[in-house]
Amino acid sequence: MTALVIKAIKVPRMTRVSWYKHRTLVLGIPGMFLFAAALLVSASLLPRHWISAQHFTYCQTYSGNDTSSRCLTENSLPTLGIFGEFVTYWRTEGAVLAVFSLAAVAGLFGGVPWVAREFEGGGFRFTWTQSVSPRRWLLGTFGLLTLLAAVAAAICGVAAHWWFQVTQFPLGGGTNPWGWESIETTPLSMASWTLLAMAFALLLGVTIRRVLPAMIAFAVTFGGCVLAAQTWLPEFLFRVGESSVRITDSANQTYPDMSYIAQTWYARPGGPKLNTMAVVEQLRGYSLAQEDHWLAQRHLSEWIAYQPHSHLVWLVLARNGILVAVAAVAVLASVWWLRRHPAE
Amino acid sequence: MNVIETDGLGKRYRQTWALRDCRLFIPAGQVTALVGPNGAGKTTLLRILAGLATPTAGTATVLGYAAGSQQARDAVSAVDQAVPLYRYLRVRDLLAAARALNDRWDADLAVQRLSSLKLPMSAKVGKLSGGQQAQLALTVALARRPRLLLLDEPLASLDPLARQEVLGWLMTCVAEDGLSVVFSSHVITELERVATYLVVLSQGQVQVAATVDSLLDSHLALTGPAADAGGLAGQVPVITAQQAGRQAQVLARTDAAPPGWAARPVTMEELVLGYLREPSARVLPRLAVAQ
Amino acid sequence: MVTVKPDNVDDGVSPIAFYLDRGLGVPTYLQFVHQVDYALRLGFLGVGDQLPRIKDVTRSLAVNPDTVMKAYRELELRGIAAGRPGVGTFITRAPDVVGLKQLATLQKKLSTWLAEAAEAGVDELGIKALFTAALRDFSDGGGAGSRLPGRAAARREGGAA
Repeated sequence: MTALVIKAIKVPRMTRVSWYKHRTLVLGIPGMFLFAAALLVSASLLPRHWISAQHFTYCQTYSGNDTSSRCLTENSLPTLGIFGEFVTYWRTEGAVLAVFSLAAVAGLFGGVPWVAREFEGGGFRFTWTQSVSPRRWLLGTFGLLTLLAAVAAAICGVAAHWWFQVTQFPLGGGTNPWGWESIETTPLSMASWTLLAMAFALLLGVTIRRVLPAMIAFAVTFGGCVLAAQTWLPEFLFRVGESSVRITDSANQTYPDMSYIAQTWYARPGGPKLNTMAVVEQLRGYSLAQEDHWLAQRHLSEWIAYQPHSHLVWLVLARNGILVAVAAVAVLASVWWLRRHPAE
Repeated sequence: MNVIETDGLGKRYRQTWALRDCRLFIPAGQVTALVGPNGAGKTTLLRILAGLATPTAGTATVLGYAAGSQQARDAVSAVDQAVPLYRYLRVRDLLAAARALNDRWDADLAVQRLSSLKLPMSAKVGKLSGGQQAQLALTVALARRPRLLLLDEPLASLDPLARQEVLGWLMTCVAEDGLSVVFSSHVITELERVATYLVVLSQGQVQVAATVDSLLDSHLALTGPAADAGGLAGQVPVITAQQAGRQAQVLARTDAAPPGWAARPVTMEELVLGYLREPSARVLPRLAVAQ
Repeated sequence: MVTVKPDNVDDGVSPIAFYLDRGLGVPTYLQFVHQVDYALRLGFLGVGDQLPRIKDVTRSLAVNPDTVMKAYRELELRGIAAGRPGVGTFITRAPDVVGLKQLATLQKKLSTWLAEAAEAGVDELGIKALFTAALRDFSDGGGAGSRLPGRAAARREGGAA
């Protein structure tokens, strides 16, 4: 019982030590996220005000040629004049990329120097001749920063989501909800990536123990993770629990709206999948009716493997869960390494 | 009770053994001098005892606790060779951080000592001189009210007056609080005054580990004809023998002069130098006696 | 003009303060014992005076407290001082002072011997060596115990010769 009480008392003490030692980072990293959130919110206020003032609405579907509709569509952009350009500008991927990279910035310029400098500068020999154990100190101080960063990142994610919605108005339905821009501008994704970045910073700082090499290693490993998460992981993850359906004819869409199209192929009933590229080559230049005729002649059908939109929430949750799990493993590995090599 | 006990302690870095098969039993209340050539393993031993390094082989216990454990960390203060401090903090923030990091903290002692040393509270630690940083590190170490203090040549950066004052302060802590001290030193002349226990390390192994009193009682400096010096080794254990013309000066582990030789008590300086010159000579502790 | 600064370390508890002669090669505790002895002979210390406190000596000279305790133990064995727990160590008995007349006779005999030695051609260093050797032999007493007064107790304790 006493041990728990002592542990509880030690937490605020570690906070104090963080404050004395790393004031800039404790304020700066969460501050960076909150500043970005403020920017995003302010960038979104004016368009929203204009849209509601002009009595446009956000429509799910639109008819491309109907210019009298009050749905804000891609075709209505020219009528919006300068504002149209303004809205389009804010749709650039660059802005989303900048927001997404905040997590990496937090880890690279905040987390890694925090940990590595402690070893490189010799300060760790002072810390670990005091009464606090290396593990408790590191988790109590660095863990605090990580918590603050994750919370601030989540807030920034809320602002990013709010801002991203506006950019979807002109398209009247939004970009691909399965795309990385949609997935990453959410509070859970931002927080998960931030946790992963800080966990990597901790692990690399504790093992490499020199600021510059650790930063390089961070860039490589974290960059690799980002790449894997955007390319390989979706192909694997988004197919879990997918459904397959046969397309009866080219004119009708037999799968739900906004589904994730995993794969398309051609096959005879009960037969194997044919080389899609070869078939497409054959059908080059054909009209839709000619295509249907050609396929029916050979008893071929087009198949689609898809993931319905209703599964999106769960899959994104799973994706973020994987990130957090990897972060947890990195933290455990750091603690284990620290126990084996405390202060050399 | 023994304040430090090591059994078969060894530490390997890559291919070389910095410390090998160390066996020490240092009683409480002693001021132990750790002497040896550079690279003998003094820093490694002190780091293991402080919990800054983990042994590759064997065990080390301080005050009955395993070295590096939480209880050991609470009761042991160490100032490493590099005089580690948070260099980018101000002095008063460093003290505040130290207070937060420690269960036991004598804030009055720290403040009083620093003001008597005229160390400004608002100065940045990194901007202080080497000697001032050493004083600060020592103050922090002693404000934790430890039962054992480990020092790795931190007095080297102090000017002679400061050194004298710090040693005096340490000796008073020993007298008043029963503090045990282990310090590594190259200054052999002050060993006799300050130390009550001597440990000599050579090539990573313990060469001498005994109380200063027992060493001085059991050794003699013999003077006699150089011709007889060779034969002397058969009569008494000879540590070193130096020839000066027709006379030989011999350091021997005996309490009576053999016939034909004049004996006088040996000084700590001579004893330590003698053993340093002859790395194969040993004075080792017997098996631990239950206290 | 040199000003004599009082050493305020010990608040004037003891009439004397110890000093160290590092080059001597004599163990520190013995130096303290000798200094007390000389102080007594010269009149700086008298019966009932307190000797310097251990913590004052350790602070000013940076010596191990054990060394000071050894010195005081030696003085107790010689019957010169006694410790009062919690208070300090005090002089209990001045060393036997040889009578002035006896001293004068001894000094005259010494002067005669010195003249003889000088006539034989022995220089100052030779005289010192002769005297030191003779004193040591006399003090050792061939293993049967010192014939010098005040050394009997020290011999029993097995202290350094």
